[in-house]
Amino acid sequence: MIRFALLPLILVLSACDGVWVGYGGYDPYYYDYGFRHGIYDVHHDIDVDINRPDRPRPPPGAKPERPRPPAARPERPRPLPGHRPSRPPRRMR
Amino acid sequence: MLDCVKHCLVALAVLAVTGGIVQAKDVSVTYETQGRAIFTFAAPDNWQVLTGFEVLPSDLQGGETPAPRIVSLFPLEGDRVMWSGLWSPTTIGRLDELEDYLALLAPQLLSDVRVTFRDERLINGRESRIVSGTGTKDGRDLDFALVAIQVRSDRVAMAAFIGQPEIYDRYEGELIGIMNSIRAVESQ
Repeated sequence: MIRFALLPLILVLSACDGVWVGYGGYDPYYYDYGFRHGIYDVHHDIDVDINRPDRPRPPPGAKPERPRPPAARPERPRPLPGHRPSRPPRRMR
Repeated sequence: MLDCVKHCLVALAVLAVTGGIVQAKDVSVTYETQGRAIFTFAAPDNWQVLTGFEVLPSDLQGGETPAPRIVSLFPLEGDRVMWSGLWSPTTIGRLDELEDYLALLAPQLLSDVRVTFRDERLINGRESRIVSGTGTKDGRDLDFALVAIQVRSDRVAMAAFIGQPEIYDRYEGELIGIMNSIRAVESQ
């Protein structure tokens, strides 16, 4: 009886775990880390990170979450230098 | 049976508390740094808000200027490459200095940056500048849009979006809503 009563809870927990780990195959924290530290770079002369030589070190006392690389994706042909599909400008209106 | 239901409710309550995700629900967020409230903005429904962190001047050596707190916003749904964030730079205080700031900032965020649009306008009565364009990161073509608002005589509020063009299209309403919701906090 108790097992059946707990079944909905188990299903909910399983679903939550799947959503969190899957997250659509994209890790938003990877870009969050990169763009945040790009902005920090403008405000600080920051040393390199011990984990990745090309990563800036966060300001003293800060412990940001460690980024994970984005999911691997197939190679695609690169456009010629200077070529980019034209798109309408973002007018923010 | 009653005990079992109680156990389920307790477990769900623990899950809700420890879930780790804070969902914004039509809330007004106050951007505060170094003990000063600078501006407010509205976080869209079902977007995650990351408050970032900041460093106290006492933790730095030699009177170094602390980096600003950066607040990030993400929609919780979907598979997307995007980032949006708000901050108030500590190295510039006037819109006149924006071009120099962007010249330093842009290469830190994207490669092959091209500005395709510039505008000046008033947002909630404050002088503002809009810059948008394209760039690349990790081999992806991305769009960016950035707004700078003079929220105080000595502080500028920045709001930025960087992401895939189709993601900008999908969330354009929310992004413009965030921009138009930025309001200066009057001096206390």
